[in-house]
Order: sequence, then C-alpha cells, then structure tokens
Amino acid sequence: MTEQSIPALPVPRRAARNSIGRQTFALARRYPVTAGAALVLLAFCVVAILAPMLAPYGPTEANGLESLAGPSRDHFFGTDRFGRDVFSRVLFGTRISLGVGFVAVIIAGTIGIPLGLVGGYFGGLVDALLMRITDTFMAIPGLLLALTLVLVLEPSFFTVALALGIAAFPGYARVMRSRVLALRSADFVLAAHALGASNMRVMFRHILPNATAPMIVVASLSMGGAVLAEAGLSFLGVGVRPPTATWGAMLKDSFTLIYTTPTLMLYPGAAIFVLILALNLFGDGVRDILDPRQRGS
Amino acid sequence: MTRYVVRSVLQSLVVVFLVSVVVFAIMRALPGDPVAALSGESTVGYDAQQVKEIKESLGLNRPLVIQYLDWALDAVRGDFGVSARNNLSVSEEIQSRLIASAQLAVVAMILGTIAGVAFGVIAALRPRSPIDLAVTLLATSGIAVPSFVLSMGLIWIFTVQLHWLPIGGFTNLWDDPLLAVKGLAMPASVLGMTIAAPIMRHTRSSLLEVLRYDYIRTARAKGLSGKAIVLRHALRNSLLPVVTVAGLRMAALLEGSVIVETMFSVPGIGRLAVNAISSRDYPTLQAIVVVFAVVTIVVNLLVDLTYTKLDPRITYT
Amino acid sequence: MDEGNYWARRASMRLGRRRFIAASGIATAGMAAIAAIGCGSDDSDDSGSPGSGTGSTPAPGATTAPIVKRGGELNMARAGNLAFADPQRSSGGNDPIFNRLYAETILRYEGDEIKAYLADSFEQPDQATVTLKMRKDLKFADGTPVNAAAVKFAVERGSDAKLNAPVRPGLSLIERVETPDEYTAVLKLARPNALFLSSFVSSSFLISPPALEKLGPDEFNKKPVSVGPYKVEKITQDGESVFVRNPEWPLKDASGGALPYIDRIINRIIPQPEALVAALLSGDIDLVNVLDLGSIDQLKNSGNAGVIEAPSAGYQMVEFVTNKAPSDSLALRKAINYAINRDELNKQLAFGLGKPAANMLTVDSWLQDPSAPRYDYDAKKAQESLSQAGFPDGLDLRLATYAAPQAEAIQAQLARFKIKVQIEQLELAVYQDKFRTKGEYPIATAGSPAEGGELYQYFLTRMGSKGKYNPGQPTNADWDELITKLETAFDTEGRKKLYQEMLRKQYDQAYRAHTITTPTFYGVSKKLRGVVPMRENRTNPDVRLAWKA
Repeated sequence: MTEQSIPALPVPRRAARNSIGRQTFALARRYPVTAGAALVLLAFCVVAILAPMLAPYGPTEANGLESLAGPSRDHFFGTDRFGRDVFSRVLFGTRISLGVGFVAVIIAGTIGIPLGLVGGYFGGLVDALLMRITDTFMAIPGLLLALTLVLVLEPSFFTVALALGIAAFPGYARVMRSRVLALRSADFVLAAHALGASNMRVMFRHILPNATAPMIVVASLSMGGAVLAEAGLSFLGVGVRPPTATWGAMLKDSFTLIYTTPTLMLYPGAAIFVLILALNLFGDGVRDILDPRQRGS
Repeated sequence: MTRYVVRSVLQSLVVVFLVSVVVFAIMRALPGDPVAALSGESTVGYDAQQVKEIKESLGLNRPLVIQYLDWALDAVRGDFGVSARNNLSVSEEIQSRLIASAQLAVVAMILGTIAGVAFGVIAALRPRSPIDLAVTLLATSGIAVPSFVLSMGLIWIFTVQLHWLPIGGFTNLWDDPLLAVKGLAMPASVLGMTIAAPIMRHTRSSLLEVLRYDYIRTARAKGLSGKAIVLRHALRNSLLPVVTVAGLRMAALLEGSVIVETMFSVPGIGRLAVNAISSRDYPTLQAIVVVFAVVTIVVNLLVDLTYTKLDPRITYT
Repeated sequence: MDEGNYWARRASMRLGRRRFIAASGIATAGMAAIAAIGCGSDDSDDSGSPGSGTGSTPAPGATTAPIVKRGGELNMARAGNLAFADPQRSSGGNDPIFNRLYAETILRYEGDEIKAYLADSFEQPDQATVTLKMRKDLKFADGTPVNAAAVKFAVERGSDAKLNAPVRPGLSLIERVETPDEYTAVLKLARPNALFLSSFVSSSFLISPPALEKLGPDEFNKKPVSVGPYKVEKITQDGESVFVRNPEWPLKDASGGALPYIDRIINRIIPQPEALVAALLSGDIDLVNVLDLGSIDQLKNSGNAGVIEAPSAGYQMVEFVTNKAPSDSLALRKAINYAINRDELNKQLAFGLGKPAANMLTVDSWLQDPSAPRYDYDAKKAQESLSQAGFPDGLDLRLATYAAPQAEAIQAQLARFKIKVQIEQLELAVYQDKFRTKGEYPIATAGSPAEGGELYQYFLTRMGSKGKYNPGQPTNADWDELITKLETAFDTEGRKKLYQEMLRKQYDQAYRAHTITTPTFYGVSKKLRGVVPMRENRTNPDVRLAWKA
C-alpha cells in the first residue's frame, strides 16, 4: 500500500496541547486524590533513580556486629539481622521493586497490547484464536505461573520481571480489545479507512493512541500486582536472590524476626503499602477522569 | 441457547487444551534439565550413557508431540504421574486435599463478594466523597498488604490476644460446622480481601452507571430516598455483571490460597504447591497448575452460562 | 548447670531487648518450674563413659515416681511433615519424635547402661553374638506377636541394600539371625564390633511382618504397624496425625502404674514458624519446637506457655564437597574456616543464645577437649589461605541450604574476602539428594543435632567412604581405616583416643566449618509435664512419658 504520504487525520488527543499545563492543573484541582497519588509515584521514581546518592550505605554493606540495632542517627531505620542499614536497603529496594514492576509492565504490554489490538481489529477467527491464548494465560494462576517460570529459569531480577510480565499480559489484551471494539466504528477511524489508510496504520496510528489512557489504568493496577507478587515470590523463597535488596525479600526477612524486632517489618511494609495504594488510586482516578459516564454523577 | 452453550463449552475445551500445552512446554521445552524437571533427579555426575538410559526409561527420547500426547492422555484420565518427592500418586495427593481447598475457596469467594459489593454500594451512594475515598482505601488496603503479613496480624489479634479463633487448620464443614467456621474465619477473610477490591470497583462503577438510567431518575422524582433506590432498583440490575467479575477472580483466589494455606496451615492444594516448590517436585507442580486452571475455566464457563440465562437482555448468537 | 543462676542471667541479659506487644501476665515462677524440667537431667557428667549424653528416659524404678495425672490429650504442632512413618525408613531428623511413640527399641539406655527394653533380657556370650530373649506379652498393633521371627524379619528387611534404610548401617553388621526357639533371637555379627550395641540400642526397626506384606511398602509407610506405647490412628501430610494409647502396652512406670499417661497425642503441621509460636501462645497447642529463637522472650513472658531448653542441642556448620573442585582444596576450606566470624553468627542467628563451635560435640560430651585446636576468625590467615588455594581475588561459589539465615550471614562474611556466594534454598530432602548424595554444590550450610555419646555412626556416615551424609560421596580410605580400628576398640579409653584423633583429623582437613552451637527450645504449655530432650537427639522432645497437670 502507498498511503504513507497521506497525512494523518487530526486525532482528538492532539486537540489542546498548547494549554497542557493549565489543563493538568485544573484536573489536579478537580481530582486531588489522583493528583496526590501521581505525586507519590513521582517521588518513588525519584528515589529509585537517586538511591545511590540518597543512601548513606550500600545495600549489601554488612556490619555483622551491629545486628538488629534500633533506629539511630547512623541508621535511620536501624539495621537488619546481618547489620545492614535498613534505610539504605529500602531506598535501593525501591529500584528493584519499581524496576521489577516496570519491566513486568513493559513485557506484559508488549505481549498484551498487540494481541488485543489485532484481535479486536480483525475480529473473526484471528480474534477467536488470540482471545483463547489470552484466556489460557488468564486461567493459569499468575503467581503459580510466575514461580514455575522462575524455578525453571533460575531466579534473578530479570526472570522475576519476565515471569510476572507473562502472568499479567492477559489483562492488557482484554482491555485493549474492548477499547478497539469501541473505537473500530468511531468516526475518525472510519474516516482514516475512507482515505485509504492501511490496517496497520489505522491500528497503530489511530486506534492505539486513543487507547493510551485505559492502558495507563491497566498498567498502574498491574504494576501494583507485580510488586505484590514479588513479595509473594520472596515469601515462597523463589524471589530475586539474596543479598539483593528488594522490598519483598526485606519484608520476608523481617517477618521471620516478628517476635524480636517487629518494627523492622514496618519499613518495607509501608513502602509496599504506599506504592500499591498510590498505584491503585492513580489508576482508579484516571479511569474516573476518562469515563465520561461517571464524571460528575 | 443450545448453540451458545455448545460454543462456550467448545471454547473452554480449547482453552483447557492450550493450558495443557503451555504447562507442558514450560516444564519440558524451556532451558533446564528435562530429566530433572520430570523426575526431580539431576543428571549431574552421570555419564552420557546413563543419561541416555534415564531419558529412555522416562520416555524422553521420543518426539515432543508423542511425549505431550502421552502425558495429556494420562492427565485426562486423571493420572498425573508420581511425585518426585515421595513416589506417591500426584492425583491421589491432590484429591485428598480437594475438600480443604474447595471449602476455603468457596467461603472466601462468598466473603470477598459480599465485602466487595457492600463497599461498592457505599462508595457509589456518594461518589467522590470522603466516604467513597475511605471505602476505596479500605478495600485497596486489602491488596496493598501482602497476605502473609495480613494473616500474621489476624493471628496475633484473634488467636494470641483474644483467643477467639484457632490458627486455621482444617475441619470438614459437615463433621463439625462450628469448628470449621472458626477455622475458616481468618484464612477465608484474608483470601476474600484479595478479591474484594476489584469487585468493589466494578460494583461501584456499574451502580453509578445504572443510577443514571431513566427509571432511576423516575424513582428519584417520585421522592424515593437514595438508599431505597439503590437497594431496590439499581443494585438488582447491576449485580449480574458483578457476579461475572467475581467468577473472573477465581484464578486470583486460587493463587492466593498458596500463601494463605501456608500461613493458616490448611492442608490444601495451595500448601501442596509450596511443598512441591521447595522440593522441586515438578510433576506435582505441573498437575496443580493444570488443576487450578481447569477449575478457573469451569467456574468462568458456569458464570458465563448462568449470566446469559439470567439476563434477558443478552441474546445468544 | 545451675538453673537458678542460668535463668537469672538469661533474664537480665535479655530483659532489655525489644518487646513485641506487651504480653499479658508475667509468670516467672511458672517459668522456673518448667525450665527445671528441661535442665534437670544428668548434665553433670564426669564418668567419661560411652553414651553419656543426656539420659532422657527415666528408667522405671530408677527415679522417684512422680505423682502423675493420667489421661487427656496432648496437642503438639510441628513445622515439617513426618518424612517417613515406617520406623525402618525414619529420616532420623525429627521423625523419631513420632516414630518412637509407636515403634520402640529392643534395648535402651538407662543412665549410661544398656538394658533390655522390648526384650525380656539380652546377653553377649562373645563379641560377635547378641542373644535376645523377647517378652512373651508383647504384640504389634495388629496383634501379631513380637517374637524371634519378627526380629529376624525386621533385621533382614532393615539391612536390605535395596531399601537402603537409615537403620541399615547398624543392622548390616548382623550377618544372620538365628531363632532357636519362638522367643529367642540370636544376632550373629560378621565380625566382632565394639560399637554394635551402641548402634543397635537406638534403632527402632521392629515392624509387623504380615502388615508390611498386606499393605506394601508405600501404604505401610502411611500407616505403619509396629509396637510402642501408642498406636497410629492416622498420619496425614500437612494435616492432623493422631496417635492413641496402646492399651496392651505391658510396661509400667516406677510406681507400677500403667504407661503411657496421655491418651491421645495429636500433631498438627503449622508450617510457618511464626504461626507455630502464635499457636503456642494462644494455648491451642501444648508443645512445639521453637524454630524462631527470637521468640524466646515472648514465650517466657507469656501466661500460657514457657520454654524448656536443651542446651547445645544442635550445631550449625558449613559443609564441603571434598572430592570436587574448588572445594577439594584444603587451603580454600581453611580460608573459609578462618573467614567465618562465629561471634557475629551467634549474635545474628541465635541472638547470643549459642556459642562459637569448634566441633559437633555437645558441650558436656565426654570427648570435649578445651585444648584441642579450633578455627577462629582470622582475616589475615583467611586471605593467606585463599591466596594459597589460588584464589587471591576471591571466587564464585554456589551454596545449597535449607535454612536461609545462616546462608545469608555466611554470604555476607565471605563477601569480605571477595568470595561471592550464590544461595539456593532447597528442602531438606532435596538438599540431602543434590548436595550430599550428588555433590552438585561445592559448599552448603546446615544444622545438625550435636553428638553426645559414641561417634561411631557419626564418623561412619559423615566421613566414611560413600557415607550417607558425606557430601559428594567421596572415597576416604584413611577415614575407613580409622573407623575399622574403632570397631575393634573394645576398651573405652582406646576409643576415646581414637575419637580424639579423628576429631583432630577433621580439624586438620578442614572437612567442615563448624560455626556455632545452638540451644533448642521446646515451647510448652504450662500444664505439660514430663517432656525431656531425646537422648539420641536433643533437638527432639521426648513425649513418651509426658502428662498434663
């Protein structure tokens, strides 16, 4: 096909780019909870990036004789069983936990979005086949799928992320597909067809950008799922290998010290709690903003 | 209708088939030692001839397709081979744990649905109010706290401090209902919490949608109070999609049982999975994944069929 | 050990520690009473005679009869499943707690002396023969008489190479069993063996021949039929196992009362150690093995429960595969021995309740020698040995373990010498298979019950060629020779010398790195009495003579 030269039609999302700052601010005022959640997420990202600069100690630096010291000026959150600085480990853990969640989301999106897009767009047999594949992975409990994969592939940062990503992709495919079904007969899509745009072009240039928002919702919810699943894998002993600082591993370690230093659980626990809460509130908020039926009711 | 049922059943069978292929592929085709994966025996330290013999004795020298068919046909007959851990029949082991797991899953499903719907209704009554936020936070907290931590918290409060409940365990509901309910209370609540948040979300949004329909407006105009409208009219109409969502959470519920059964020492299939993981008992793990997937598929099929039967607006094509 | 002092010291030492949630009720008086039960055994050992561990089974008639209360249920919980219910296949780890309830031994220690137990009497006409006269009133749980034929059957099955049961090393010394009359069994050894009786005395291996035949080995392992104070009602994996009083048990206690005292023993599996402690604190459970040493304070201050301490019941170690690179290098093994800071480990793993360990002996063992050389943390020597081994800049090691904390602590310590350790956590049975049998990992961390009496079985299985617990199953001709010497050392003094030579050799070869000794604590409800550490393995509580006040 030769439609490359045909200019893309103006797509609704590009409508009001000039006032994006003001718009964001207005949205934030209207949805303060969502805005707050977004700020929290931003803060986590900053911590993850700046961890080496913020952390007073290395994540695996152990001073064996300072085992289980309480909070002090040297160790804000105290030390763990092996004399490692808990504060530093929580900071570095942000990297791993956020990283695992992020990579898992990328992997899930890379598999799930095209599946839903193609299935929803073409319908018929292609759709039936792709959706059965999606159903298959939906039916296999994600945690079990992930831990089976991790066991076979040896646990590491990447295998854990990969396994969690594979376990999560059906959600993306499903939402993407329903979005495509809704957009397939939208005016601008029909117009693109009428102008001779190829299927590929319509799918990726016209439909996909308009499905970004629901994807953000799915991504934020599934990222929370991935962070939790990482903790679950650590609990079951198949998480990222020690001594790597992950929130899941830290929570599991401090869990075994529940009768000695119960406060130790607080730090990784709170980090996980706040992150997941923020991700969920952000996701819910974006959904509310986007769903016109619910707005203002 | 019949055509729709037949089609749904066929689709489910296709998914079951695909599940078996995926599980088989993970165990066999991925990097790693297939002998280890099948028998739990590692071949390190054996010479090439010995490895060949072991592979032959396990049938690993045959084409993958034949191996798959062999395994799948046995599995259909309910034979998942023997555990690499203790040489006992995997199917028997799973069967003996079925009641404990099923009892827990059903009660958790009921609790989770009730909690989710209740939260959803409360939130929908006053959308975007502090009450809405509080309920959302509460439901989300249920999934924001890893279940092993939540479990230990409950054990500490209800077992150690208050002496109200035993630490889970398992009592058959028919043998001693009171003891069974006491034992189920904590594990089922924790497990239920893991599915309450999504159910709450769907209840809230589908209620909000229904509340905008004309007949609700009419009811409002007639002067009925908000609560009455929700309970008498709106909820009835929005409950169906909620039930579907609950069915879809089956997989999440089953995977949650792995950790919850361990924390509350329930001798179920989830606990068996943990044993299988720590002993690298792949045949057992494989069987559990297949069983959990099939349960999920069957539950979804039933929900789907019930839904279409109950909702007159749905046509079967 | 002076209990009063000990507990006072412990209390003052630990009082300052963090508390979890202020527990209701302080019961120090009750605590002391319970503690006294645990430490009241014959720790003051000066005889230096063989088998002088903690004599745990009060012999009928030997002690003053306690005023016991009969009946009731004992609810216990453990984290792990009974690996083998079949007494012949008993894993030896925690299995004997239950195996011994329904499968007793033919002989047993009373104090330091070997006495008849299930047998009416026994004698040793020469060094290669043991004649057992069996009791005529003893029946297996299925009614089969426990006669000479049953002994013969059990010995033959237990020494079967194909079954490779843990009782085999002891039983395979028996060449044949003769049965001159129905209740007399004559065990004929292949050659005189000074250690035979001491091995034989702790093997519980009698099984009902018709039951095994009827059920087959797998079913029999689910519901074994043997003879003991209890009968198996059911054994469930991950669920409840129930043992009921054997009404036909003929043995009596000191005052002539019927044994055992408790009617039903119910064991639950609570896999999570934290939940296990909670179950005890709540009063639902009467007895647990406290796996989580951090909870000891909590238990001591609880209103429902207390702890019994079995001092230095266990020890922790790093094991090496000595027949494969890189851990076949003596210099590397020495380097690791010097690199381990045992005081740190004691603090991190045992909360200071343990002691640095030089060997696998109990602190009160007749073989303890304070002047024997030991490895202590020495950074300089560690680095030197490491260079000598050819790894001046460290190396990568895969480490197997079934208990993560020690592995992680060792990982952190070895990292200081650029030894990068990758930990793989396995279940005990897999650990045994992959590390000890197949030597797939160069090093591993483990814990084990400390050795109190004779070390013959220990050296045979840990150091001897192809020993069941010898990692990588090497051939050790030098060790075999020493072990053979041991078999003909009929005098105690001679054996002591040999043992000390072997301990020295173990040190010289840096065969293992012993790290710390750890006490075992049984958490017990305030009502439970009569629980003592098992003689053969103090990490296991012996509940055969337990009763509830």
